[in-house]
Amino acid sequence: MKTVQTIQPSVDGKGLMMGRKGYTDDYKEPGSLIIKILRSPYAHAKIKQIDSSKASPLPGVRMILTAADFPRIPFTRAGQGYPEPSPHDKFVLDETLRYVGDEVLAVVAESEEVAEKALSLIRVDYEVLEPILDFETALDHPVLIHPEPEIKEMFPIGFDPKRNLAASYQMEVGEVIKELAACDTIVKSRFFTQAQAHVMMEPHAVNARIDYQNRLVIYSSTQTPFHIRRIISQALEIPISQIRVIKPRVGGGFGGKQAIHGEMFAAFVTWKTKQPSTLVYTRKEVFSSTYTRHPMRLDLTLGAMKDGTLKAIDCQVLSDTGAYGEHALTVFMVTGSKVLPLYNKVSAVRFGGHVVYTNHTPAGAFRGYGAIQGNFALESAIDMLAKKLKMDPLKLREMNMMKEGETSPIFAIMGEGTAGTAMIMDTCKLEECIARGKALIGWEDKYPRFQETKTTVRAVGMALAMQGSGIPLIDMGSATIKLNDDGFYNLLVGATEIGQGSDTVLSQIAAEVLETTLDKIIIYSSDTDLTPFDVGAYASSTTYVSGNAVLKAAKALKAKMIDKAAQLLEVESDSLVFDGTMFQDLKTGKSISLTDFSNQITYSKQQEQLSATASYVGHKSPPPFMAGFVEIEIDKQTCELSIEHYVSVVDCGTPINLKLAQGQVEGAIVQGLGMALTENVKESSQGKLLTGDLLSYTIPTRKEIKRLTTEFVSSYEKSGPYGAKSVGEVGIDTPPAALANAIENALGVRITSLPLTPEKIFFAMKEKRSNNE
Amino acid sequence: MLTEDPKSVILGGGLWLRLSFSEVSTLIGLEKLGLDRIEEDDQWIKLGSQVTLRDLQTSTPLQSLAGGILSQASEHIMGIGVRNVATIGGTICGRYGFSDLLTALLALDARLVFFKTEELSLKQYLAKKKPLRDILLSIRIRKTPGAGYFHKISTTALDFAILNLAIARRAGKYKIVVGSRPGIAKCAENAMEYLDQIENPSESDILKATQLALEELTFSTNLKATQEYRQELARVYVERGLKAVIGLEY
Amino acid sequence: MNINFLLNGTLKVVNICPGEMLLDTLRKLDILSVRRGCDTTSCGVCTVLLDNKPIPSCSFLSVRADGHAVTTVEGIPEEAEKLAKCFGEEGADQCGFCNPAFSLTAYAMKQEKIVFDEQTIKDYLVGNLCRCTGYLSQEKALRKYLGVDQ
Repeated sequence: MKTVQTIQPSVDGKGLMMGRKGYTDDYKEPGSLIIKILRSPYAHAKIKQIDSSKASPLPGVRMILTAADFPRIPFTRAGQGYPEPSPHDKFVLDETLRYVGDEVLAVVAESEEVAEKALSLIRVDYEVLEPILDFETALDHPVLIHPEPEIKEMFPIGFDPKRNLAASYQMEVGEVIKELAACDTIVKSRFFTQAQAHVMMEPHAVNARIDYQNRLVIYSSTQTPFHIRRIISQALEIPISQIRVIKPRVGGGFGGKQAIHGEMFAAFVTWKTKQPSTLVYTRKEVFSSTYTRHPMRLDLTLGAMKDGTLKAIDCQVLSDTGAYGEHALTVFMVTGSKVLPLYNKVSAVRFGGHVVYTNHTPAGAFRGYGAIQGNFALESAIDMLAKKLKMDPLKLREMNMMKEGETSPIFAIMGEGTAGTAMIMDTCKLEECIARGKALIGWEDKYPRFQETKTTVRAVGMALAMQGSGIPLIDMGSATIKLNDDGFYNLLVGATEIGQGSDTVLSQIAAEVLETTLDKIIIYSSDTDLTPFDVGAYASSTTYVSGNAVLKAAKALKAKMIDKAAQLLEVESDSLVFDGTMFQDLKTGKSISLTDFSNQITYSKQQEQLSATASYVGHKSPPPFMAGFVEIEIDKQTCELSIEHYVSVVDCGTPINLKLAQGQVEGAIVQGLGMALTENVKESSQGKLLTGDLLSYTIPTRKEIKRLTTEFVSSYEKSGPYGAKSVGEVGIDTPPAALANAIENALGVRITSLPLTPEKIFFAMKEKRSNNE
Repeated sequence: MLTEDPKSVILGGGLWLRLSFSEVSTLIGLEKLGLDRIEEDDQWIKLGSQVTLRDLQTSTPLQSLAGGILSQASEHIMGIGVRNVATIGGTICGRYGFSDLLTALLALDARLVFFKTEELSLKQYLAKKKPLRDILLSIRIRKTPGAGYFHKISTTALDFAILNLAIARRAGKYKIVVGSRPGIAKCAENAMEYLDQIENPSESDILKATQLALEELTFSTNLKATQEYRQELARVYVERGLKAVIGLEY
Repeated sequence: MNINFLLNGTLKVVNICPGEMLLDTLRKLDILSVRRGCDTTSCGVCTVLLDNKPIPSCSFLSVRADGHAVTTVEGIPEEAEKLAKCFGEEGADQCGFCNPAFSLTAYAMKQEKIVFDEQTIKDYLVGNLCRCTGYLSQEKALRKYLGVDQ
C-alpha cells in the first residue's frame, strides 16, 4: 500500500465543491442574538460619555456592552501557547481607543436590522487624543499609547510601554563593527515593508450556544481552538472545563485566524444571556479591525571581500505592531532567525531593534511571519552586493549560503521568546534548488535582461528563502486513532485544517502506517472536547509536528492491533505480520482478516476498543529551503510590469502529497507577489484605512498570474514524517526580493520599499535620469 | 414618480446601490420596458439603456465598431457577474470618474435619448452640473467606419483605472478621450482639432497633438496615482494610441 | 412583499423586505453554499446563476429575481461532482469557501458558445478571486472539466 507521495485528492474537496454545510456561519443557531461592534472613528481617543438612551429602548435591543461590563483583565489575543511571548495589553473593551476600528462597545439585538439601527442611534462623546501614525517617531514619543498600569509581559520580551515599546531585542555573534571595518566592500541600505492584509475568502465568524449540560459551545473560524478556549477562560473568568470550542471548516487563515477576535463577545453574550449569539465580521472589519502584517523598517549592512566572501551581516529592525503587541516579539525574531542563517559562513552577525506601538490596526501573525520582511532586505542587499562586486548574484549566493550538514550559531541563540535550539541542517538542497531553477527560468540566456524593444524590456531576478517547521520544544501536536468494526479508523486530531490540506495529509500518514487506503481513515479536526491537544495551524507546524504525532499514534495502534490479533489467534506477536487487510502468523500460517478481527473484538471475542494517542514536540525545526526565480516584462516608459513566469524550486523534504504541497507553494507565491506588487496600503492623515475593502485593496487576480512552475528537489528529512518538512510558509518569502532584483536587472534602479509599484519605479527612473544629467 | 420624490432612484444594474446611496424611498426598475436590446440600422447602432456590459462585450456589431473600443472597455470592467448585471444606462447616469465605458462612449460620440428631455450628446450630458431627473432610454452611436484604440491602466484586472483612454479616427475625424484623471472622462479638443486638419499625420504631428492634449487636460492626485504619473501615462498612451489608429509603429 | 422564483427548478414563494439582497434571501432558505466574501461585488464568492448567467448575489436585490430562475450549486450536483474530481486531481481545492461559486461560473461558461482558450477562461473567471491556490491549478482542472485539456 502506498498512500504518501502519491497523488491523492483531498478528503473533503468533493463535499465542499457541492456546497455542503461546513463553515462557521452555517452552524449558527436559528434565532441567535446578533452582535455588532461600534468601532472607533479616531486613531486615538478617550470615551468621555456614551449616550445609548435612544438605542436601549428599541424593541429587540438586548444589551449594549461597554468596558464596565467586562472584568478588567489584561490579556493578549495573539493565540499562542502559554505563557505567551506577547504582552498582555488588551482588554475586551477599554475607555481608551487606540486605532480607527478599535472596539468602542457592542450592541446585542434580536435582528441584524435592529442592531444596525441601534448602532446608528448611539452617541459617543470622544476626547480626541494625538495619534502616533508614523512608526519611526513612536519610540519615546511624548504621546503614550499604553499608559494603563495593569498591562504586563509574561516573561522578559523587552516590553517597556513607557517608551511605546512592545518588545525589543539585541544579539551579536562575533564583532560586526570590527569585521565590517576590515571588508573590501560594504552595502548598506534601508528597506520598508507594508501592512499587508491576509484576505482569506471567509471573513472571521463565530457563534455560541449553551448545550444541555449548560456548557458554552463556540463555533469559530479559527486556527487555534485550544488557545481560544484558554484565552476566553482567562479573560472572561469562565471555568475552562465549561467551554467547548469547535473549529468547523475554515475558509482560509494565513495567520489571520491565529488570534482571537469576535470570540470574546460571542462567548460573553451567550454565557450571560444563555442564548445563542453570532458575530460575523464584514470585509471592512476584517481589513480595519483584525490584523495586518507588521510593517517594518530594516537597515541592512553587508560586508564582503573582493572575492565575494561575505564577512558580516548587520540587520537592525524597527517593527510597527500597531495598537496592541500581538506577535510583536516573535514576528520580529523570525525576521532574523529564519533569514540570516541563509548565509551562515559570516564571521559576525548582528540583529536587533525595537517593536513599537502606534495607532494603527494591530499587526499579527501572517504567513511568512517576519521572514518575508527580512528576506526582502537581505536578498535585495545580496544582489546589490553582487552588482558592486561585479559578480553573478547566483555565484555570490552559492559561495556563501547554507549547505547540507552545516549549521548557524543563530539557531541556538534566537528562539521565539526563549533561546533557540541548536541544529544541524540534515537536509538543505539549496544548491540543487538553484541549479534547477536556473535551468527552468533560462538564467544563462536571460540574465540580466533580454528581448529589449523600443518600449519594453524583459529581465530575470531571483532570491533564496528558508523558513522553519514548527517551534522546537514549544509546539505540540497530538493524535488519537481508533479502530472500528469492519476495519476502518477514526483519526482525531487537534491540528486545524484551514484549507491547507492538513486533514488529507494527516490521513495519508495514518493510512501509510496502517497500510490502508485513504477512504478507511475518517479524520476529524478539531474540537476541544473530542480531539487531543494541538497548538493549532501556525508556524508551519502541521505536517512536521502534528504529522509526527499521527505517525506515532498510528504506529502505536498498529502494535496494539498485532498484539491483540496474536492473542485472538493464540500465536506469538513476534511472528505475526499485518499487511493492512490480513494478519498472518509466519510460524503457524494462522490468519484473520482485519474485517473479521475488528468485528470480533467489537462484538464477540475478547472485546476491546483499540485506540492509541500520541503527542509530538519537535526537538528541532528543520527549515524548508527554496529558490524563487522570476521573469518580468517592464514598459520602459510607464514602468508597468507583468510577471511572465515564476519558478519555485523547493526543498521541503519529501512532500506527503505532491499536489497539495504544490498548492501551498503556488498560493504563497501569488500572495507574496501581491505583497511585492499590488497590495498598496493607504491611510488618511488621521489614520483611517483608505484601502479597507476589496475595491481599493487589490490582491492579484488570475489575469496577473500567467505561468508558475513549481518543482520539489529530491530530499528526505529523517526527523519528519516520511521525510517531510514544512511547506506552508516558505513560498511567500521570495517574491519581494526576486521582483526588486529583476527590476534592477531590467532598468538599473533599485526599489527598497514595498510594494514595487510602477509609479515608484517611474520616479526612481526619473531620478536616475536627472542624476545622469 | 421620479420627478416628484427626490429620494427615488432609477435602477440601472443596481449593484452599487448600497455603496452609492444611504437612503432611497422608491426604486424604479426599467426591466419591463424592453430596453435591453442592441439594434442597428444602416447608420446607427442603438443600445437600450438596460443593455448589460456583458452584452456590450460580446456584441458582434460593437466588436467591429471603431476597433471594438466599447467592447474592450466593457471587457476590462470587474468580473463577469458584475458585467452580467451592470448596465450601460447605470454607468452613464452614475457619472463615475473612473468609468472606462464613458471614455469609450465619448470617443464614439454617443448620443443619449431620454424620456422627456430632448436628445443630448454624451459630452453635453456630462457637462451638466447636476444629473437629469429623467429616464435614459437609449444610446445611439453612428456606424461610421474607422479605427479605434482603448487602453486602461490599472493595478490588477479587477481594479478601477488609474487612467483610461480611448482614441477613435473615423471619417478623418479624431476623438481623443482620457478618463480617470481621476476626474471624469474628457475630450482633448485642441488636439482633436489639430489632427482633424491634417490628412496624413506624421510622427511629429502626433507628438504635437499629444502635447496639446497634455496642455488642455487636467490631472490630479488620488489614492491610485499622483498627478505627475498620470500625466506621464497620458503622454505615453495618447501617443501610442494615435500611432495605432493612424497605422504607425510604436 | 412576496416574490416568486424558481430555485434549482422548484418554485419558491418568499416573503422579503424591499431592500433585501438575494444572498440573504437564499441563506434564509438554507442555501448555505452561497456565501458572503466582500459585499462590494469584488470577490465572486456569492455568485449564483440568474437565468443561467453568473451574478453577484450580495448586491442583487431579491425583488429583481421575481419571475426568474436562480441556480445554486445545490441545483447542479452532477456538474459540481465532475469539477470536484478535476480539482482533486490537480490539487486545486484548498479552503473551499469559493468553490461552489467557481463551480457555478464554470458551469455557466461550459454552456456558452465560446472558445475555451486561456484568455476566455481568465476573462470568464477573473471575478472569482482565490487567495489559496495561485489560480493555475484551478484553471488546469477547469480545462479538464471543459474537455479542452492539452
